[in-house]
Amino acid sequence: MTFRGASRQASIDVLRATAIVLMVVVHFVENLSGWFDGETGPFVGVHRVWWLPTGWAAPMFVFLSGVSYRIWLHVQTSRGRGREEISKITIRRGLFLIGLGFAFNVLIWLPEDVFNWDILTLIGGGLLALEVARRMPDAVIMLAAALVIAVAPAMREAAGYLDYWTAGFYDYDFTLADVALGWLVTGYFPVFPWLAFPLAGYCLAPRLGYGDDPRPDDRTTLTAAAALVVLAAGLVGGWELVPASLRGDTPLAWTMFPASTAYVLGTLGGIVLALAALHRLLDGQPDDGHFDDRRWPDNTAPRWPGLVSWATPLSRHALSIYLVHHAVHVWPLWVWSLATTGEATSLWQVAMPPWASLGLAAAFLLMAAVLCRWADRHRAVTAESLMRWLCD
Amino acid sequence: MIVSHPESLRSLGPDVPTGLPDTAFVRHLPLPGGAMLDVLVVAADTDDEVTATETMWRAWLTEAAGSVAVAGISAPVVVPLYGCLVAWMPGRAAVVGPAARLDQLESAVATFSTREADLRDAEQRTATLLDALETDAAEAFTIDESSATRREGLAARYREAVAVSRRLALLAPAVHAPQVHPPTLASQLGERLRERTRLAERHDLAVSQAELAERVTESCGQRAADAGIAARQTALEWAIVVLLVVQTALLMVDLLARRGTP
Repeated sequence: MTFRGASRQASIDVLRATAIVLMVVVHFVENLSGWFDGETGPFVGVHRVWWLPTGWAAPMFVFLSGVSYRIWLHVQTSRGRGREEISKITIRRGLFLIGLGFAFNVLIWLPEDVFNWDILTLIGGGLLALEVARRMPDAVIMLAAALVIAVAPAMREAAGYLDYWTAGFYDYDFTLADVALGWLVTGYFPVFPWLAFPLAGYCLAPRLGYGDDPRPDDRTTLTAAAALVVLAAGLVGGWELVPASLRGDTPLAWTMFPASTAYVLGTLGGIVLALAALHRLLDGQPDDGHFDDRRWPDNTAPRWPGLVSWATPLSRHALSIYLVHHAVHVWPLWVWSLATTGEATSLWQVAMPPWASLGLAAAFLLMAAVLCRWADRHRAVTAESLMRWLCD
Repeated sequence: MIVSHPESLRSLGPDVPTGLPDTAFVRHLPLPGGAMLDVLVVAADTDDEVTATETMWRAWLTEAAGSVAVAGISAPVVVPLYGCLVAWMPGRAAVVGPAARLDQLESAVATFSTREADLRDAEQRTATLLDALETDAAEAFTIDESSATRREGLAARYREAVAVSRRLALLAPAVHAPQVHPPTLASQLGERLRERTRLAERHDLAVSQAELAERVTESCGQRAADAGIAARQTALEWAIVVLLVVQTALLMVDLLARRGTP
């Protein structure tokens, strides 16, 4: 028996590969060159409009975690796995990612940043939330996502978000209040509003043609997504017209830190439209009627196979790439800083000009693409295989 | 003596078998459910004439057996009656006898065939309902909010079961009608055809099957409706839980913010 949801979806792979490519670029450039040569140089940073696409990587990554979970859930159910077993695997995977996130923070960002609430802890927490959410009707999940987005500005206001970001990065104290507030509101990827992405991804997956009961090209979903984009554009364009009491102390309408309402709505709508378009453009079906993940892409017939054959390994090993790309540019940065200035973080964001860091990112991506294909062929141990071995 | 019938009464249908008198003709009658009845009418005054035509009308009847849906009837039902001979199969009948009696016999065959076709149609619809029953009963325990299509299917089958039951109820007086007294040629032919085709027993069986289908489909539909109501209640409960969680988170943020560092 072949399950539609079981086949590897080229559209998801291409979008996730795009997200990881954007992430690598943004992290290399901002960590190595974010403030290089101050405001006078060819700065590549958050205040340049042309740099804005890099802000889409994290929402794509997190949204796709919800979509992938729905597909995975459908496959497990179809294969006859019981609810309890599915719950155990989900919780183990969620805890694995949270633990990995803490370990990553300690090893990459040094122990003082262990509770910065990075994207791995968000995805892990999102999996735990989806374990509960999957028992709810879709309408309630959407309500939860909407509430998470709606109350986030008020929470930031109550928590004094900008007080934790005075230096341009998240700065907290090792107190229970700060750590808990960081997880809820003030960290890099707090529950409010970022949890809305996995919830929306899980909920919208069937309406985009994935998972159980797929209904691709659902007009209501596409119209709502387009409306979100228009609403976000309206908020950005008319930000000055929004009453100051509602704007709070957020200086710009479109900001990733904090994730402004316009940013969340705009990226959510844009990702839904992009995924719907990619699903229509790219997804093929197994040519022999039976999907075998280990033989992919040999037994599938996606459109644009060249693009998909490069995107899929990047997507499949996105977690490993996320971990490794930090290690290969942040660790040398710490060592170099320590060796030259005696302070490990002194060269952070000022180590080299942007063109150099961009070149390093490109070189890393090329190497990663080759290594991921090699890992697939030789069944090498990766973060993903480790997670499956431990959790499934 | 062979009497010719007016040309206008003859309708298009299968050809009259060769070897029969020129006055023999085939009448084409519509039956319930879109079926048709072809009646071969042969006027024959004597027993010898009647016997002489037997090979021909029997061959004509049986050649249709493969093309007509036959409900457990593999050979023609033959009823000899006062010098006449009536043979019937689903879809075809032959009436042979003195010209003066042919109209009565033809009318009786048409009436019987109408009822039999009605019953056969009800039997087929009941059989379809019974086929779906097992799946319906199994799925009645797995209905959730995404089973709207299944609920629509159940509703359609329940409507069908009620319609079949109604049709069988309307048919009951005719199928179980007492013998007419004093008997007529037509009434006797009708009674014998009913007996030979076990119309009353088939009707009783169809009624009990339709009742079973109606009862089970109704209970499955009830379960589906209950599941729908329960799903809406669950959704409401979850919505309340979500609201409470968000409210709690707001309170926590407010509380923690007062204890925070900045």
